[in-house]
Amino acid sequence: MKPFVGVRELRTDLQAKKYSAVELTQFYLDRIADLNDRINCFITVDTERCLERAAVADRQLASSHPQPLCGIPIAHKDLFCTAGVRTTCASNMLKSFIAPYDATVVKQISDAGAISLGKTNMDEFAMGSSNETSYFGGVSNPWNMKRVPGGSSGGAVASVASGMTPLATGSDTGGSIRQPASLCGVTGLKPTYGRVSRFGMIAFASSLDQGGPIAHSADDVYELLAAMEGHDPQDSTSARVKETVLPTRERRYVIGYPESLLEGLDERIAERIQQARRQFEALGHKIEVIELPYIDAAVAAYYVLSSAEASTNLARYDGVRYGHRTETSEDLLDMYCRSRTEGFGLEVKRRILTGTYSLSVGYFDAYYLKAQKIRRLVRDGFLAAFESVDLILAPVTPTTAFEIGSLRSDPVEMYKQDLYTIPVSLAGLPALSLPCGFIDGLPVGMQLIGPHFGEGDVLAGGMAFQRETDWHEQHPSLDEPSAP
Amino acid sequence: MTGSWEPVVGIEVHVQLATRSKIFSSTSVEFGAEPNTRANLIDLAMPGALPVLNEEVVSMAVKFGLAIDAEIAETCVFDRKNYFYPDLPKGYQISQFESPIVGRGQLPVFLEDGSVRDIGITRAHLEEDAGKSVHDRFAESTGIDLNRAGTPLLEIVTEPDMRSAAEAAACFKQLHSLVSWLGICDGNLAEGSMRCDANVSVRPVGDKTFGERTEIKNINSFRFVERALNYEIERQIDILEHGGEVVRETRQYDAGRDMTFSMRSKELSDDYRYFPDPDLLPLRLSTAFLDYVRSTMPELPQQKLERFVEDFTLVRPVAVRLTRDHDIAKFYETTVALGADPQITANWLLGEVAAALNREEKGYDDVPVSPQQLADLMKRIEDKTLSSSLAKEVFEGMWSSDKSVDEIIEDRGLRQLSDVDELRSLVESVINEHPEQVEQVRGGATKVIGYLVGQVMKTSQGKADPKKVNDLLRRLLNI
Amino acid sequence: MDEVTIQRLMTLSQLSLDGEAKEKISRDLDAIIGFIEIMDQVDTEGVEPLAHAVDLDQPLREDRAVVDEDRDVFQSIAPKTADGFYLVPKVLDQR
Repeated sequence: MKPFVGVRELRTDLQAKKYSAVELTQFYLDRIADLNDRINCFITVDTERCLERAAVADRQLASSHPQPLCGIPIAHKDLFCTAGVRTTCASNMLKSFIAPYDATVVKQISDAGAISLGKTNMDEFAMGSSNETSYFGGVSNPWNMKRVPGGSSGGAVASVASGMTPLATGSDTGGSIRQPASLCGVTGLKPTYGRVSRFGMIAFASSLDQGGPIAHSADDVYELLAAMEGHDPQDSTSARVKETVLPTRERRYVIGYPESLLEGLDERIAERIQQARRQFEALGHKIEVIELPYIDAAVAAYYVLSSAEASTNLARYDGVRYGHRTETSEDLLDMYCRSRTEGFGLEVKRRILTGTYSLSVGYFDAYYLKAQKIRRLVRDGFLAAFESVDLILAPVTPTTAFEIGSLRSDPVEMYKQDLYTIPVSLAGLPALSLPCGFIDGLPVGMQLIGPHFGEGDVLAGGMAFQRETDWHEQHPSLDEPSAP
Repeated sequence: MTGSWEPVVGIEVHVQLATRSKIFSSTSVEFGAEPNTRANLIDLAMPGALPVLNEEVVSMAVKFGLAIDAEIAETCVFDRKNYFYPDLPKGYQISQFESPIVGRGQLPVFLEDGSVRDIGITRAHLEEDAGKSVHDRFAESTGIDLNRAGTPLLEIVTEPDMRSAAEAAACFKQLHSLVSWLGICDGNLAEGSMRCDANVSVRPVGDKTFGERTEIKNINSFRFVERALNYEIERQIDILEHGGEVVRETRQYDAGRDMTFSMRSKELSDDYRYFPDPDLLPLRLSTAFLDYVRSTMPELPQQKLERFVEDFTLVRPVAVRLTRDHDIAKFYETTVALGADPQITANWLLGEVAAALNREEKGYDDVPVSPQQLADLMKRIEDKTLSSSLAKEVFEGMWSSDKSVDEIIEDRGLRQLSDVDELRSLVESVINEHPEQVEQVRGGATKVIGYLVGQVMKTSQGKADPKKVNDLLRRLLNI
Repeated sequence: MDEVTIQRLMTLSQLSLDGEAKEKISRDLDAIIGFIEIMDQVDTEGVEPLAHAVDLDQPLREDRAVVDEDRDVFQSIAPKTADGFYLVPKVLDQR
């Protein structure tokens, strides 16, 4: 057995009994045991239960109709509730919280036969772009241990990039799947808002949060999306739409290219994106230069809206029904204050206070309402672009993976890391992040953005690109600690 | 009106909607269950849990809106009202701030003197109830029971259109009657199904501007609304007459001491940071949905009243009383539909039946006599089988058994004495036994004839028809 | 960000920070608010606010009631309970 094997090959091998699901699971558990100390991808490894489930999967595999992901390992970002296994959100607040239920996504993936290896590290409550805000410590980038993997789905992405799991779930609010996927050289999709159920996915910003798949290729992302998506009557914002279907014939797309966005970008990254553009042209797709307005203001609007929603989404953590409660308190208010102050880390506190500020009497119109208006302008800008193009090609990050600690003391610089992913989030669009090259041994990614519920074409575009390139088949060498 | 001061009152009534499940979760709504046994993931605000709106809650709010002829919002939004309190598990209450489901409407309120006043309804919006804090059960702690958390509420806000405590109480009563009539609330005040807050101020008679107001919270009976407001109106007048100023504040009514007192603010903040709940989407009400709800509306009290006056030639005050409550109206209509005379039935329902129910503290939803029994009794009165006093005796018999009217008449031998010869011999023996009174009657003291009629009734054990006895006496005495 | 504002935000958020931590977060908030003010450069005259990017309507759930028997499970993860109640430090009855 070897790591970095795709879903189709795993499925074929399992069904051909080349190895059993138990053996496969044990292989990944061993790899986690070898590597996790160095990379810190996993907060919890569910050794016992995943082997039990693998044994069940082996019986299923012997039957005539095994489920589509039967026996294939997966890791869940630690904000998806899992009954019986703790769900921490990488926070002291929930460090020993055992959810009394499974998130819809967890249930769907389990019903599809996949084996959950455990729960992956992340920025606390998904607030961050470097995975440095985790209560359980930062995650290293498998390509360079001194660099961040990105965030907030840093653990999920690094676990795929280092071959500790073939599949992982993540969540993307302002770029939390796409940015780390780009920094770690894997493929990840932020689906259209409403495509994947949010029930049981611990909320950061409800109008933006969207769960999505992370894997080695667009093909595998599609396999996992098929298991995760679908209307959920328990989530009011879940869309009633048909499942994602790949186009039956290869299509020639008109691909929008927001040239002006590349102007301020690191030249070497811009060069990789231009190269990808030429590859798409060579494949017969048509490139059309477009403008995407209000990008700078979008980042500010995003921080206002996401912090406002977060400030009230996190009000439920009061030490009464679950989660951290302070040891001693003088009275009720003291109990609230101490429990919350002890339970939340610095970045979470910053966002709660920012959000509270923007919703307060006297500031509401200037901040919250203004941000919602900018949100409309940003979304309408995309909708206008999609009148004439099928997909949009864009950068994901302004730089490659930065050094651990380098941006930690400057929240605003950190926020600007999400410049290219945030507008897409505000517009609720699907976007695939996939590798398109390397700079100094560090991966570079690009985004393919589609119209609402256009995942089929977004994925088809990514698959076409990956048939012609092998960036996604490059893997870090983890045999020895990377050079300083 | 009190002296030279005019009170100005507006009320806010929280109506617990009579749904099976909660507003945003499928938990059963029940009063009196063991603590926290009616609280699921959503009610407990577990991480990751999400709200989904109950359709019935929406129909019930729309029904209320249609009944008060209000504008129903085509699109409305649910907001979060943010504050920390232990019986508020999410740290916010889902409510409607800027766009209520029901807009401006009118409520005709029947006052004690029989007159009607139109009270403006400002708005009615949907929200979720909080849980309960139990303070006296544990020595060191407060206990939290979240069974009530998420119970659907319709908050109805009136204009400051009332000018006395009695009018405010009448308005609360009218709302109680309407929501019970519509079947959207069980109307159980003792269990908190309706809770009334009142905003009250006073101003010199003739002034156009309002005085500073206070809010009295959670007054949960008709009687207390009137008492609390009367106390508060007097208190404010007293302050103003002594040169003081009314302080804008929230007050609580203590029924035991019959007074209101100032409350400290219950919440930890006065900045609720309302904003649209991002877990919920705009609620759009289609014409088809509104039409459907309209088709399920019962006939409204006002419409029924007009129909009773028209079809049954009832006088208006009687029709008003028969349509004040859904159960009495239904009982009346069923009885009349079974062939009873509308007038006699009205008199009986509002007289004997009302008195008996009152005596046993029962309502018109729990009358021991069926409409069929009552209709049969009415027919026996109409065909003169029973005098009104005999009818009362039969009625009492029916109250305590489910025998038919005719069975009771047979059992007790209560049939009215209609045999002419038998009656004649009774009358003759009374004439013979009372020569003195007969003399007086013949001498012109016709009033005394009543005494003789009484004697006949007595010997007949009430079975004689008093009118016939009177006629016969006059004939035999030649007067 | 002045002392009164930061104190008020902390009260509304039920967070308490003192000394250096409070100063640091005040400075951060100043920087964040400075950054957010880039929004002022956008003319939003006549633009309707947008709450969700995808135009969807609120779905309605049928009024069917369920009684769960999960209290023990729910309370097994609670910091403090007794007789089926969640316990918090004594609140003076303010009603």
